[in-house]
Amino acid sequence: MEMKIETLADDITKVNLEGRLDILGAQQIDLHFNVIVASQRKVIVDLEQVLFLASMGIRTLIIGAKTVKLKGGRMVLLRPSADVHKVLTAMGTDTVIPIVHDLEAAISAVSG
Amino acid sequence: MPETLVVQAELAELERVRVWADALAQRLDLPQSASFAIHLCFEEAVSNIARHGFIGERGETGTNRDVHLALERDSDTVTMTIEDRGVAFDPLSVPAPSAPTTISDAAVGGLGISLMRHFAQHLAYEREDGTNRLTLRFDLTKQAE
Repeated sequence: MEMKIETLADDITKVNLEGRLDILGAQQIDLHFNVIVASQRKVIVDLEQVLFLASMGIRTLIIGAKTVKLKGGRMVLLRPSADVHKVLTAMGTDTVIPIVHDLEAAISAVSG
Repeated sequence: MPETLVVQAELAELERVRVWADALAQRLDLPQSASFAIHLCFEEAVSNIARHGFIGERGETGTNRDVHLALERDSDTVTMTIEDRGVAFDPLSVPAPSAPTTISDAAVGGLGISLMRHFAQHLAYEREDGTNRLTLRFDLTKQAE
């Protein structure tokens, strides 16, 4: 699992994930991801290049969203594939972390 | 005849499981959504065993960390079996976390078993002669929806 950070206008942080967000993938990014969510208020997590999502990956995303919210910020998930989206909806994650399918909607959602 | 693989109950073995399951999905001509569901259930089952199944002397043998995986297709049904000799544990006895209404009450644990319940059409657990056996069945006609 690879993680790349982009800073967009208006202090928006875009986290681009690529690969498998399984238990090993989550372990690879947890530290760096936690640093981002602890320090940023507007976080877009781009899942377009995420091929696979398992429970430990969902855990990483939920903890991230909780952290951002505690600090008064917003986090959204962007462009999950159909299979990844199925995993998110199976766990009800989509009801507590917004999922959007284009960047403009993501920017709008974190900007409030 | 099922296809089988034996791995050790270690997270590092998950890559070997993935490669095996990938090849098997192609050989069995599984639709992509079914392949994803099966990969997911293998990931959740094997990682649970690796993380929780052998805790010091509480494991049945203390040394046999083999995990036996099997997958078989019969028409539109795929049957997955996972066997290990770790501590007795019935994953189906774990209550599913309730659906979250806010991010604050979203659970971060117990999701793996919930995912298996969601993506497999049938799950069964038995313990026999010191072996945990988890059986999952996938209806390919439902996976395609």
